[in-house]
Amino acid sequence: MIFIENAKVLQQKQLSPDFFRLDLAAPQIAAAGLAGQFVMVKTAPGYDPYLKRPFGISSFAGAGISLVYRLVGRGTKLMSELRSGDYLELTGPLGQPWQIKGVKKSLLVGGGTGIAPLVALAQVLKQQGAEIYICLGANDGPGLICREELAACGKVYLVTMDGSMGAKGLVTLILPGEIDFDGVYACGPKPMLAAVAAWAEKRDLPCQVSLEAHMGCGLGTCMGCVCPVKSRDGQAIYQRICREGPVFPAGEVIFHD
Amino acid sequence: MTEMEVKLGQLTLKNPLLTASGTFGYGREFAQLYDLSLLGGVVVKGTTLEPRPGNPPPRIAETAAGMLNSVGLQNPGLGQVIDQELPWLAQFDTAIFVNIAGRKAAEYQEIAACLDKVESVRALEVNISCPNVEAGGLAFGTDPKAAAAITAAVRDATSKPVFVKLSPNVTDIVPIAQAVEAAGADGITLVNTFLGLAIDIKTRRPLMANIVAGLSGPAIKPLALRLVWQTARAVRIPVIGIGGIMSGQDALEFMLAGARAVQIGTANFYNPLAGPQIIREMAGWLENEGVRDINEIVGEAL
Repeated sequence: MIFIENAKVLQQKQLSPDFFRLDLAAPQIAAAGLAGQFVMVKTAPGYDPYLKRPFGISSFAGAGISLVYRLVGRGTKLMSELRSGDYLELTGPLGQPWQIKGVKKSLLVGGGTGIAPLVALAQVLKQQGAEIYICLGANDGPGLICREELAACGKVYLVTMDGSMGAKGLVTLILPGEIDFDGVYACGPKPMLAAVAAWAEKRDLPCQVSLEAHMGCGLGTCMGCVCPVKSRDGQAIYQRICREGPVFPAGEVIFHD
Repeated sequence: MTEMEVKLGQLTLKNPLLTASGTFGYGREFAQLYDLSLLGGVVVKGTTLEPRPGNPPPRIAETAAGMLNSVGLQNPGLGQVIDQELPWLAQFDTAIFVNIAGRKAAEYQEIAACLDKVESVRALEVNISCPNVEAGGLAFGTDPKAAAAITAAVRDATSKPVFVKLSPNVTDIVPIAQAVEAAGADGITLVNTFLGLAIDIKTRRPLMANIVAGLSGPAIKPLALRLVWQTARAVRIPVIGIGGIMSGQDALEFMLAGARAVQIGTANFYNPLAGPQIIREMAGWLENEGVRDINEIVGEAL
């Protein structure tokens, strides 16, 4: 079920110079939503910006959801100006959630803004009693968002490009030596997803990745957000990130053209 | 209550609002948000004989008050549309139009002949205006002779009403509209998208994989309105107006310009509830103005 909700802003919190968290009252979306799903956000009234913006739901809390986002353009700038008591139109929950059934020992890998949607995942995995290992990468220390929420769910390992927090380099540098995970989850830039998918495939671990794209509708009708995936007969076909995704089995995604 | 029923030749719609091809899928997503039976009609996405993969991404870009798309007719092919999608959509009390596209006249004809046997299909919309495919599409829609030839081929293959969807990317719309009318079209839908381009300032290259793309959204409304007005003055067959309609007022402007019905496309992305909202706004405005029957205002501005 998809809902259109005029969500009340409960709190806007600036997490770093670039990152913000919006806590929103959205009872229908919060009740129906699952970790890994996203919402379309109408960032302003009027026709400019015209299209809604997709954001992964970072976490659920009662009748509310949180969106963690980075200032990248006009849409996110307008979102950052919202204050408690303002309203924001959301459409959701949309897309395929993470598959978590039966997972007992999980590895979560997040890069940049891709860290945000891992919070909801870590929370549900924790609820079902899974062991959780979390590897996070960002450009710099302030980019390592949601550390506290994630640390409350599992063991967190950090890496930054500039070495200002954790090890220096890419998140693939700190992927664990152990190989007995029954669920590997990755969200972040495409090269990171490709690297994690290759790492998991080599070790024969079930891996899911969450992709992102500019979207026209978020509902599955405009066909604007496709990515190439392997079909059952091995051929490359375009699937919608908003509908068949954003979470895909890593083995199906074609990362390189 | 103002009478909202409209007639497009032999075809009766409960109200003049249809959802446009390629912006509504097969209705499954929107059916989660409202009852599709509220709509005058649904135009099913551009359907080709064989499945089409569509163009490589990126396929869309936002523009001021609109968007560019270069999807390239991605669709599962006629067989799946007939077997899976149309039977599902047929549960709703709304007129199903199927938009059809091909690389040559024989393909259009074969699709039309297959759909002629599908009872739930009320009309065909012939796409000779897709700007995003290599063969066919726009090439047929910019030349009166080619447009007439495709129209005649489809006309021969079906007894269902045939609407031809025209491109705005022409010097003069009138000879093309008159050519498809003479070739046996029951009506004309216009406009498809305007050819546009987006450049990525970071890479200094065109943004879209397919380079050019079609512009839609409220940005194009005055351009579309002019073409609808010109066409409605030049042909006798019904015109369905489309291009940037976002509100009941926009829709009524197209009807005053001579459209007997309207389609909403990009508005479905901006506001998934746009369909029923625009119908309500149209009816409300007419009611306030004391208009008894919506057909009274059709073409008043011609």
